Amino acid sequence: MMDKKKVFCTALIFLGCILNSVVFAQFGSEGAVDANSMGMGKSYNASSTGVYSIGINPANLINTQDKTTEFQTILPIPYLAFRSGTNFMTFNDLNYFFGGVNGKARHLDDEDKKRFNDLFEDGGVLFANASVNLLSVSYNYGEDIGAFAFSAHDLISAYMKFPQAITELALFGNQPGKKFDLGETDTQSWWIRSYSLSYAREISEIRIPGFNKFGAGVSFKLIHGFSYTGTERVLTSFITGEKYQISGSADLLAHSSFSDAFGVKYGFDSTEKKSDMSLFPSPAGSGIGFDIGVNAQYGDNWLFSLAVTDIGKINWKKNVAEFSASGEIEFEELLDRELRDSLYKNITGEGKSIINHSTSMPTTLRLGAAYYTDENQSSIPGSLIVVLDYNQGFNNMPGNTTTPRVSIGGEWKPEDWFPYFRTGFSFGGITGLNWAFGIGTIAGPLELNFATSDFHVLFAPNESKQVSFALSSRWRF
Amino acid sequence: MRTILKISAGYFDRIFPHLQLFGCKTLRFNKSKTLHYQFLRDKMFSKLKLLLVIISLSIHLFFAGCVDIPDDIIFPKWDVDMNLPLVNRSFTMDDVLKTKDYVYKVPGSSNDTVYLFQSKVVEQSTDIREFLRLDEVIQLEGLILPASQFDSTLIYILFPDGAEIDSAAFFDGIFSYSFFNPSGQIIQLQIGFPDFYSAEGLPVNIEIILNPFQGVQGEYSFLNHTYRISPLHPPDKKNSFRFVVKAVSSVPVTFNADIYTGPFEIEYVYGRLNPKTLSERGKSHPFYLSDYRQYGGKTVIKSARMNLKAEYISAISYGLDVILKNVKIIGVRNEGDTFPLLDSTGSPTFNMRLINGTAHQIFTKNNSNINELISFLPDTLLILSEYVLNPDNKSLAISYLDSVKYLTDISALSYLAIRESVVGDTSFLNIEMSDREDISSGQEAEVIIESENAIPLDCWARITIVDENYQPLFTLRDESNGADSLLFIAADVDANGEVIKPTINPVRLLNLTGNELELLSRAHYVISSFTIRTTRAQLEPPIIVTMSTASTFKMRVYCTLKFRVNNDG
Repeated sequence: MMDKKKVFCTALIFLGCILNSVVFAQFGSEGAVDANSMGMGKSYNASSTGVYSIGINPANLINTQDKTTEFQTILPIPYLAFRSGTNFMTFNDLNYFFGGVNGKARHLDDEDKKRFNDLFEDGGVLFANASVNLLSVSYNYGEDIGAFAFSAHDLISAYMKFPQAITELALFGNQPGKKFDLGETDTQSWWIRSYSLSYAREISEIRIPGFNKFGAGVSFKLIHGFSYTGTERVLTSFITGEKYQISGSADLLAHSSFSDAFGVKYGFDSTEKKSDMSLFPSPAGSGIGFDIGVNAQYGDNWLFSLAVTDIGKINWKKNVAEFSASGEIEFEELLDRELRDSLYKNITGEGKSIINHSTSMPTTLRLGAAYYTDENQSSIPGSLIVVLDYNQGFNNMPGNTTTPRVSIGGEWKPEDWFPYFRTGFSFGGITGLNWAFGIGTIAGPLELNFATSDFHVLFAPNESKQVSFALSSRWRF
Repeated sequence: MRTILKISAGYFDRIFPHLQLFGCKTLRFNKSKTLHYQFLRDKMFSKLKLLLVIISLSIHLFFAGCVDIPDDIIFPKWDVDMNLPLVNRSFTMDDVLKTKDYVYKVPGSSNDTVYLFQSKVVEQSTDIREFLRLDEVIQLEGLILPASQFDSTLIYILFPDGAEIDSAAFFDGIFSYSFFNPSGQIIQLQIGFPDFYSAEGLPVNIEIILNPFQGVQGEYSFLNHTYRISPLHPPDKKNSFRFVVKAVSSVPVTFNADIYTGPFEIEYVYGRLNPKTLSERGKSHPFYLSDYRQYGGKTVIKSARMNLKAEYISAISYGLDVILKNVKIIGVRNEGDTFPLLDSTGSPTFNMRLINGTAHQIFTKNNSNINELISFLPDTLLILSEYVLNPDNKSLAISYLDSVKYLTDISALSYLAIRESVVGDTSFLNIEMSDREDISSGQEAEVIIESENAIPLDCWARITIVDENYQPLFTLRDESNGADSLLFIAADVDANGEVIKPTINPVRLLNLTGNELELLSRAHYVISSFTIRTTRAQLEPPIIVTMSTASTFKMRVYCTLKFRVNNDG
């Protein structure tokens, strides 16, 4: 058993990092973002600059003043980021179903059960994303040399989607003639650490009328994975017959891999494992990836951005297990233990060790446009940025989704002494429509931002399904 | 907060000369730098203070004022009906039979396959050593024999019990003598047995000195001696062996002699022994179908059969004529009840004669009451008989290793009728702890039993659930008729006892209340009592039915279990 004091210290350090570090490095189309971008409805493709552009479009590194250095630290103020929720349950529902009655569990009658089941009409999604920045620094030398950046950050993502069939089964039982299809089941989670080295520069050789400048950038990433669990295929379905016999078919394929530091012991493996967690555990998998992006400035007001991020694979090699099930399900004898065990095995699958397993990185296409204006160019007081984004994930790896996400957002600073006001809407993706709001200020070298992507919570708080807020900051010299 | 700001201020103080502020020109130090520096720092902190106030207010509004989150997440509870298939199985007669030992499948009389209950072959050996004992003592008394320098006398003496021996080996045999010398001469006696050889294969001679006016008595044992008749032996004297008495004295005289021989114990013999009857003997043997004892006296069997073979077992001959006299076969139960095998005349005894060493008798319902004996289903079978050996007084070859062996086996085909019989069974309920918890969460259960019986056997099943101390918890009740047992009606049969069609039994319903489910969660054993009866076995005479191996009892049991999720919540 791991020394308790060591565990406590490790947990404390880790929690400290989560609560005090900056979350900004984007991963996938749905991953956690910095407070600046979150406030604009997670619109960032054309507007992000400096260290905020790492993981979004490396070409945007050049969108700072020459000889500018940016970096993130725990100081000056504690950082706290939180985003979690579901796509099916509002806080009202949460209170009703899980708030109890006079301190005791609510007994669901048929109407309650129907209401609860209806919440999962499109399936239930639970997710959580967190990103812990260990170190990020960027430097824009200028047009001749270009801009450089280095970032090391951890990403923890968990995503679970379960079909309505599961809640229906739990609430109403297996009604005869009713088919239960678990095909929409999908679970993905991982903890990975990404070390990225980015370079961007202006492409002065390209001259197109109307466009002031073109930039290009690339990031090379070394990925260390510490844990991974994921389903690749769940096509299991079954039906209860007239005589309550259960028949169907099972088709399941899932993989997992854990760092030795977790001490995870699989049921099929008799080898004793010992947990030995630290801030730098030995990786269970590794991979090489890269981001590539271009941007262009049209006139004095427009910025366009195109990038493909997280191209590459992670090869998991430590404690890799494969869980698979296939075949017909025919179950007619609950009292037969062998048949019961066989059914259980058919549905949950049998695990075995395998040598390695590859997963894609959350490859994403990012398109964006930003319009900048100020009081000198329009009647709007102060400065204003309007941003339009399109993010298209190519897979459903943690933090990513193949459901496209479109967002529009803006940032307005009416007066010099006034904070930045940001708001935006995000459509599609995992969570659908979100109204975001954020504020920020620049105080000397320090930029400080606060945002929530669930601003509507303030107006109909108990009707919302997610909560989020983020604080982020960066130093700029 | 003050401390943090002070630290931050110090930090900015150190780096300030290099700061490039947004919206501000790059700082350049000049004579008024201190004043300018303080102005910028104150401006920066005032912005930070404003932002922190807004953030604090937002978070406060967000969590404390707006979103109503439960203090404790309390999982709800609800009732759910799970529809579960419990059993769907076809039970064949193989499953019904208590044991598979001594049960075979054979072609039946109607192109079907039936069971043959076939016992192991019982062997009972009886040795015949008693037959090889010649117990008689032969006497030759009052002989007056001459003695001189050259005289010798050849004497024949009978073998005991009228035996005629060509050759033999003896475990033992006695030759005794008594001589008296009435003369004043010394007589030297030499008694020779020309046809006997010692264990070492040497001739047998006895030397004796008879002093004047004195007598001598003595005994010689033919221990492990062999006997081989001489070709010169007169054929009419095979029943005797010979010895030669040579008496030497200086002057011719006579002397008196008394000779005795017997008993003899023979190892083997070639010749002829007189018929002999060995008294009644025998022993009990297991009855290998006693696993079905509970049907004893309640079963009517159509075609039982007993094979009784007798063999004469010999290492040196092809056989000996033997009459097995007053043979009795008796079924015996452990409690002492007996049931004799009777022949067709009603006699409990019968005789068998071994011809050329073998005899075979088959008992069927045509010549005996074997059906009734098998129906009695005894625990053991006692076989007794007397043995009459060599009844025709023939020449023979016989050894002490020879024996008479009984070989008995019984069989019965599964054409039978069983009157109401009760079969009990106690079985362990293997329920895991987690399953017990699930069962105890049940609110109620409705169990539906459907069955189709192609076995011509009615069955009333009374099932009692008991705890680990065998204390009854509850007995299953058929809600469809209120009975405390479940009736499964037998398949119908024709006049020959052949199954016409399976019987589809009415649906049986078992309703278990929440209390009974809670009791069930504590169950460890099931005590079952099955009352069974073949189709129309209540008639007199009962219908004999065919228990075909193809007969099946199909049963499907399924239930709706209503249980409360998060019952403890």
